[in-house]
Amino acid sequence: MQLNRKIVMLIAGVLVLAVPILGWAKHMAALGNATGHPSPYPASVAAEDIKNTLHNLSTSNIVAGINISGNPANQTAEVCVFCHTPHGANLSAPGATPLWNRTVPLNSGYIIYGSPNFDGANSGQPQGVSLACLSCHDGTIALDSLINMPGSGGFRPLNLNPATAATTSLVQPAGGSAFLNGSNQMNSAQRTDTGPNYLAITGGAAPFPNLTTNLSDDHPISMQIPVTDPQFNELLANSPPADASGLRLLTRNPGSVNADKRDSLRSYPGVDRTPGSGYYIECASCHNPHAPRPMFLRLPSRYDSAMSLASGGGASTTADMGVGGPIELIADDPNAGSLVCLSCHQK
Amino acid sequence: MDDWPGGQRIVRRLIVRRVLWIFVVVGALGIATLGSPVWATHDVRLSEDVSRTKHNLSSNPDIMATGTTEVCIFCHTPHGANLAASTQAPLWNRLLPDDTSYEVYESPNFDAQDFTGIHRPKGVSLACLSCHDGSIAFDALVNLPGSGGFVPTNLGFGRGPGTSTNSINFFGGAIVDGSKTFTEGLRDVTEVEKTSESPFSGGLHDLVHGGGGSEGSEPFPNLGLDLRDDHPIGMEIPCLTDAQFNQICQDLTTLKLDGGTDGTSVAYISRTSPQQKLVWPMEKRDRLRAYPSTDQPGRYYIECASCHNPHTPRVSFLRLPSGVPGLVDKDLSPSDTAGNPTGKMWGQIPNAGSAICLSCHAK
Repeated sequence: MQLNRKIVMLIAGVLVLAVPILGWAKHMAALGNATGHPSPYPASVAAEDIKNTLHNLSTSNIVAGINISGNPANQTAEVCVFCHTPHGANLSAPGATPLWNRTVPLNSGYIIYGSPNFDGANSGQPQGVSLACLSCHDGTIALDSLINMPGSGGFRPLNLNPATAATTSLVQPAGGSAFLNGSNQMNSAQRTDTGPNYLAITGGAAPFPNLTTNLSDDHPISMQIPVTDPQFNELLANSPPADASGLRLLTRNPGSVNADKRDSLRSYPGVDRTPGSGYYIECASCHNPHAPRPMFLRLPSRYDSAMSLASGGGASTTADMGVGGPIELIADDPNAGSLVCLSCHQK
Repeated sequence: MDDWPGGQRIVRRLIVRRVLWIFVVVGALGIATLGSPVWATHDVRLSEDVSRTKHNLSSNPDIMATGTTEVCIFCHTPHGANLAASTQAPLWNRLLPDDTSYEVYESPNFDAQDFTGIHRPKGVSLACLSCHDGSIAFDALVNLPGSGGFVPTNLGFGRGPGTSTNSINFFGGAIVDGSKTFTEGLRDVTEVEKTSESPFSGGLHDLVHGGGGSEGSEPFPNLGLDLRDDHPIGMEIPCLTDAQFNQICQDLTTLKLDGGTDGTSVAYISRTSPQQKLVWPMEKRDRLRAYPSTDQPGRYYIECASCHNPHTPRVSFLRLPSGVPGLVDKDLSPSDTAGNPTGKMWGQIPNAGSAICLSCHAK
């Protein structure tokens, strides 16, 4: 009798345990080959697809009006060449600017961000990958100030030095446009368009994409994540360690770094580019210049489980005053709920 | 929580309860929870959690914006910010009100200093008033959500509703009027704390809507242009002329509680002596603060954000009391008016015992 009861208990125990184990196995099977933390993003959304972005400045851009390679004598359908070259690259901003094919601005003369609340340790002037971005986006260097032109025979060593840099007549004939001035730099006049059409850049390019050299109205860059500001405690505690190159992926939630690191918010090492030299926020901490996403944003590392990842509209929720409103696909609207901002800021 | 030992028992009990709940939930849902990050619950122990306050205009049912789900955008932008209010309103994304429009506080007893002689709102207070004086539209943004929505006419200082945008719509007519500013008219609704809410709910208690009869949003949250009925702002702490402020002034001017030395950083207020400072909030975002003067370095001003933290989930967006002698340092949990312990934490009723007022005023 005693034995029978034990057997019954054993069978019952096995059954109780089997249900969740089988469920778990089924779940893992559904994940397929995914390892580690499953990506919340549909596989069909590519992290990078430069050709289908505003950064495709060539004649191969499928979006009319963005092709600035408009000089009939010199047009190119190449995409990468506007920033990168396989040979003869600019070494003046090494590290975070791989095989850089453009004139790099001097890291001086910028007006940088400041505030009485600001605990960040500014490096003082833009550094590293941010200088690469600013080589177009501060409006002082021609968009076609390339080191190595498409094809053979177009090496322009003068463009290695910002003091002697010049246009290469790759871009449109002189005369400018709403977007570019006669020197093929971004226009400095203020934008006046108020519509939602992001292609309609009329009346100027400042303050974006031409940030100008006054960066005091922009989120600070080349800024060390401030260990003295408690709002960043969560970020520093939960972000995984930096990799061998000093790149550190950022998240406020343990274990929620995006599966594809190209989508992940990140910090860069200090100006000497050596791991351990600090964790700096640069332009590319939030932006991925190759991503076919609005505003070239990376994706939040923090998302509300209540926020559906399904595309399309949905009922808004106000129950907990949390992230409500229309439900959006995060990959389509990366900053829905300001989640990119809130991935670092505990606000 | 180390600075609030009175709350430790409660916290410990909650931790135990939370651990038990985690077991229950994991056991019940099993694999269903795998991979789902834990989203912070609404918790007034968090210094800041703006998404879960009524300053989340994408979710606040009284001012609900329907054109975006973003939260930060109604006040801040990462690029192209309004630099007009000096730098005291970080990356400000709204039209700022002209500082000459206000009627300011005065009193025969009032010793406050102001080098301009006129106690005009300054810096961060102008940022607050850009919504809360009821004259500028909630959607008078410089940089709209997404690309292609830069509105340079909302840069600088102005008056009137500013350039409103059709892409952000509001509903919640009880306090938003046709010009997308706060509705004029006096509130006639007295709200009481909702005891049925979670013990952690803070900022949700004082929703504006919900009353019968005529509704309005004055004198709060719409302060109006007449600030004579409000505690003065843009006011230099009267260190030289009013002895009640001796202690906080001594600390502000000699100890540099912000750790800075140039008088250009935000400083923190505490009435306790330096040896007792551990009783002030450990988290500096919870500390009451004084703002520097950009024109007169070394002098400190009281502004809206001296007492209020617009990102906090706490009642009335209050910061926490700071070292009130004989109150915070001896009785670390708030009591009700009869002196009985309330069982709550300072984070839930920050001004219990008027401890916030008494953090500056030696009264």
